[in-house]
Amino acid sequence: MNNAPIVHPALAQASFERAIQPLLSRPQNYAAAGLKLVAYQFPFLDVELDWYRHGTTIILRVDGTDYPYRPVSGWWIAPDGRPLSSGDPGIPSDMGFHTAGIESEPRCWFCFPGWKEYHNHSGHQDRSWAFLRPDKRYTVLGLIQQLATDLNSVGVHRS
Amino acid sequence: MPAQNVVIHIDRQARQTPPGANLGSHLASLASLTNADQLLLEVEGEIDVPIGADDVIFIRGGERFSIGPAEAEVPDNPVRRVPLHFKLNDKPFEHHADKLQHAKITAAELKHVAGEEDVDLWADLDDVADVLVADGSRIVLQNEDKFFTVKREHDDRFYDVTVLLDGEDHVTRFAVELTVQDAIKNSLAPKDKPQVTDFSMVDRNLGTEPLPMNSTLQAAGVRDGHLLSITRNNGGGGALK
Repeated sequence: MNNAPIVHPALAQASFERAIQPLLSRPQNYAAAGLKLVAYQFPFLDVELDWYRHGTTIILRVDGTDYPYRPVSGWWIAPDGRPLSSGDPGIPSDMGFHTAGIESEPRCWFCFPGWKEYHNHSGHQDRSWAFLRPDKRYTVLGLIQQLATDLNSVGVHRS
Repeated sequence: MPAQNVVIHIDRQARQTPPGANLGSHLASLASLTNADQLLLEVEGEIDVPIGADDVIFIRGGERFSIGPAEAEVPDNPVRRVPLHFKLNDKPFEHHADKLQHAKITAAELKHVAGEEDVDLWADLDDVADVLVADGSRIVLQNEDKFFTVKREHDDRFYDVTVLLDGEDHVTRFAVELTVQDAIKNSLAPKDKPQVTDFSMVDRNLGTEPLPMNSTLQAAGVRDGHLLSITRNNGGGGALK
């Protein structure tokens, strides 16, 4: 797949920053909910999620390239920013959390509606991002909050 | 007996609705909008104001609304050319115009701009009962609006909490005797309310387990200042459909 930007980076950055503004403005509220802002430099937002079911945390990287024309992409990273994937210890698997790379990228991905890799998957072409986009449930921060809940579901394993 | 309905116009059609505080979702239901449409308040000489499902507008009768495509390039909260002239505590709000440039504002923001923090904001409505405006409610302001503030009672009938829903944090006041299920239902968008049991609420000040749905907030351990996170029990991952 051609990865050239579709949306002008300045426009995508403005949209993405507007979407994550509550987190940037009031990080303490989100940290109290287990969503700790680590770093932001467009197009990447890094948030540490509380993986309380396994007594640890894990860092989520969200990529806002082409947002909102295309959905955000997300994967787990090590503290040094390296993408985590199959073979790395301590990564979530099952129940929608995939560890094998996708689209030639050696990194985890999330098979949940609202995330780019879900919508790129051939099995989900009947559920378009354009249809979900107006729903507040699929805003960037809505996706992150829901991902944190799903991360702690029974059935999600830690490698 | 409820207040007599007043007449408003949506897409040039006369519709009846109760006077006073109306939610955007209610007004949208009067016109049977689809997801591809949005409702806008007609404002002469200004950008028309999109009415979101959770926005509150104080209806007096005679308001005119149009219907536009949801994808239209109308800002969710347009900047006004001319400052609004509504009243707060019997005084015109114009002297704060430099701080108030948009067509909508939450009750909490309005109080902050006015320099009043530990107060309740009430909408002063002619011929209908005044209403308390929750801090997180976003008001579609009109020149005819009148508000007043009263010192907030710190009694034990309510909890002032922060609700995190759909990734947005809102300061909200819940009655202590409200059940967890009703607190979730009150927080959800209208389209999600029928599926309230698909959601759960976690009080992160207490731990990570969902609160019992049938328990009152008080019995569940919720208290002033707590942070309540509402999410779906299942985000829909893992299954190819």
